[in-house]
Amino acid sequence: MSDDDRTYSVRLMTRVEGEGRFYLKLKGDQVLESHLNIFEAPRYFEAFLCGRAIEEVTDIVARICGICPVAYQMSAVKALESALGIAPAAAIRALRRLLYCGEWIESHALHIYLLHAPDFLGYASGMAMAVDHRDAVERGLRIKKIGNQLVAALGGRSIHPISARIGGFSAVPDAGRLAELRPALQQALSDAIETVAWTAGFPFPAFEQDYTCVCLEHSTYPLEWGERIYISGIGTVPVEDFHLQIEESQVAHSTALHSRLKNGQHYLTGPIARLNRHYPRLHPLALDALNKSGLQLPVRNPYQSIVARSVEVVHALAEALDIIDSYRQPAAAYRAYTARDASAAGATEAPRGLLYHRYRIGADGLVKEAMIVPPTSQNQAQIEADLVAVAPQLLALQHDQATHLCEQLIRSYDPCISCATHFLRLAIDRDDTAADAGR
Amino acid sequence: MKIIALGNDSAGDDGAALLAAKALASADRYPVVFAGRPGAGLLDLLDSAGPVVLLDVVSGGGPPGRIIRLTFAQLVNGISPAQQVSSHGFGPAEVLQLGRALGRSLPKGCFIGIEGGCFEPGNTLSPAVERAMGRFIDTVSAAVGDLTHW
Repeated sequence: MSDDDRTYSVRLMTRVEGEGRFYLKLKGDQVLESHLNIFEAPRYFEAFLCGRAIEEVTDIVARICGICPVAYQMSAVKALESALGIAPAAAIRALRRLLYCGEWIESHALHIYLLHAPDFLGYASGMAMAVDHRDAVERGLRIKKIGNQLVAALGGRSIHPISARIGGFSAVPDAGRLAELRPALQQALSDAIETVAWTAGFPFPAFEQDYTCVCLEHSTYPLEWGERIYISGIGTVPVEDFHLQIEESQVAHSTALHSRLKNGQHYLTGPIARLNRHYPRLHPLALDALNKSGLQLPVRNPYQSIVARSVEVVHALAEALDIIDSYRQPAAAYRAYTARDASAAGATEAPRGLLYHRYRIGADGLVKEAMIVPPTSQNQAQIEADLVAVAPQLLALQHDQATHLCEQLIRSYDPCISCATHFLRLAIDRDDTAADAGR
Repeated sequence: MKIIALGNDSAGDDGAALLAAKALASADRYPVVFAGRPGAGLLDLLDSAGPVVLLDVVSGGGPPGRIIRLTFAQLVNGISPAQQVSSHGFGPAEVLQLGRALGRSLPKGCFIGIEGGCFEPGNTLSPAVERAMGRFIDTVSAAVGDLTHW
């Protein structure tokens, strides 16, 4: 048996947006294979949408993800409104941003406190961590709760909200309803600032990558709106040109498409990409928290995404308070439109990164074609590249430590995958035959 | 007293608890919360002064349609004969464990689950679960009666 052959694998990643496993095979310090294997059956949402009325799209795409349904709704309305030649009123834009802030708050808080922090503090789960870190977990739950309440106040319910529609909302809240949320938002803002300091103090594994960052480009911190996409090393390109810059391809080990730049380069989307590009556009309170955290920019260590995410929670809470304070209920909840033959793209920033939608619609009001590129699939190739890059560090570690380092790395990217990996089983395979065969 | 129903009504038998709750709500006798898959948010829903009857679908390899009734203490101590079908790792047992870790008291009330057999997309129950729905609703009604007189 050769001690040089090492296989690190997790065989089952359940309850994730894309079910899968990871597999890393080394011979000595050479990586033979690195796979993030997404094996969930295709869900066919793009096919479901074809032939459906354009008014149904927001409700259908909300079902793609239970954690970030707002992101799917916002990218959909952005694309469809572009196709229809309408733009939402300023007050509606503000409400959409507020709704999206709620989703960032609840999604990020879940990931930070219950999914990712246990890795840094040496616990198998958020439940185990709560025994020794009760105050911290209560803080996280307070933040998450107000995020959910914000989504419910604007979206009708916190999971798979139902109020977003083309042109605006089916109904808008009165100012008093939003003002009721203010005390809890203020408390959460204080909690979130504390969270930045807390996560910045975690012990981060020494690991850095030179990332190609991809995110929405806008004059404000990117969220619900933007006409261009920033690609580090290339510059900004229109959202409409997404597929002129980025190529999706199928790989044998995944039912989710991989995304790469046309030159074959993998890339990073999500909180680190956003922070690296747009930190000057953070809310002053978030920028202050970032500066005090000591986090070095640009962030090159993926494990530090937990700090980037924490800074974004501060930003979302501070923005939410500002939007509520300046809110005046619009006279109309939505803008009317007339269906026409057209196609258009739209992109927004989901908690996990850039979420691109493209639709071709008809004058009969039906969807003819739909294309959705979620951040999870865009990050797959980058995750595999990170696993390859971290491989040399694994050799000096015990097997369980090495596997944990890989899991922690994957968890840095995506709350759904991160959630599942807490339940993974690990198999060590030292294969004589493989060594003898020189595989 | 309130009933909280968990599950996904677009995944076959996973919608059974929601359907049972719907039937009970239509009788207008009990306050019902259709919680779906609230994840850790269930902790807030369980933070109730009165008793709670928590309904969910379980998948533990038993015969579809089997009904189990557990105290919350049994559920949190992991002696459930079935594994809960949960969302993103935060099913009822995990949420109760989290609550206990945070020093919160277990709610008064009970957990009632029905064994699912088919979790394919769609809102159709498997025949075995369909046949058991009347018994499931009766079990919940009986539990509510017990707790009301508690």
